[in-house]
Amino acid sequence: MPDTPILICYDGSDAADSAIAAVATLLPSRHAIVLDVGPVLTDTESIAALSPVMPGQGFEDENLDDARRNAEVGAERARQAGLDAEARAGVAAPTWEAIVDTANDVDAAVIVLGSRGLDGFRELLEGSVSHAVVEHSKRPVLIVPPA
Amino acid sequence: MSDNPFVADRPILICYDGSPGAQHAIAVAGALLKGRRAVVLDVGPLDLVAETYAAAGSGAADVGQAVYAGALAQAEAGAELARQAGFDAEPRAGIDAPTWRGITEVANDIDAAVIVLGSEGRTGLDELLEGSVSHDVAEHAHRPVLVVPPPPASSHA
Repeated sequence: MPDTPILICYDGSDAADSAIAAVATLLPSRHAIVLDVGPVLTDTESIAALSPVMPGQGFEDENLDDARRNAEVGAERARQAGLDAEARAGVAAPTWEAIVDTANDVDAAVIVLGSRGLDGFRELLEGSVSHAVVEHSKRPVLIVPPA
Repeated sequence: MSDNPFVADRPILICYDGSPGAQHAIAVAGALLKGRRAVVLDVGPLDLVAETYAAAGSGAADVGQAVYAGALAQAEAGAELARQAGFDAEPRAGIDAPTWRGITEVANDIDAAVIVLGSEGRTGLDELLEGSVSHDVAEHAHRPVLVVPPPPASSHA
């Protein structure tokens, strides 16, 4: 258990930054994997993907690149907060599925998520990611509100 | 709100209702967070006190005392488990409804660094009526909440 990593889900939101701060204080100096899960297709892209000009796969690759960049930002913040952090990215819908899969893959001791409250459009579409992760993963989940 | 919401020496609030899930939550929390100060809380049901008053028109104070004493005994059992799990633990009891409100109030009172809960804080009819305590606490507490699922093997229902 002490050597299994912490999985921090990072989407660049205030709550995600708050989640890193909480981990740095509550679970200091542990190995952390900072994950950003991008959408397979954004809402606009899912309409645009119907066009023959740019195939849907192109959007997916772009979204994965975005997720990689974002995860690296999160990992850098985690390092500044004193964690031994590495970045990881994926694209999936629904988001919770990629989080649970990655947690299983790295055998995470705990999954850390910022709670975004109930204000996002994507939240309306997907439901609460934190609730879904709690329900579907068999691992402890630390839910952190924005500071 | 303080400048740093995650100061290291603030206590952890562990919610304990005596269920196997709550016992497991203490063990898991200990593996992650041991060495810290912990307040182990059981929130007794306010509805029992209210029903007694409604039925008898009196006696609610006695029932209230009994419910509080029961919650405190439960919390003491949980605190003992928490000590075994590596926490510097003290018990605390409350009476409230809904349960999440009692938890949130104590968390504010002690300025808890994190609230630890089993994901099956309520079962059956209570869960249907009250919803999930862990979801409610996560929504209302405005502080980190560690939700611990039940142990994998022992769920034989």
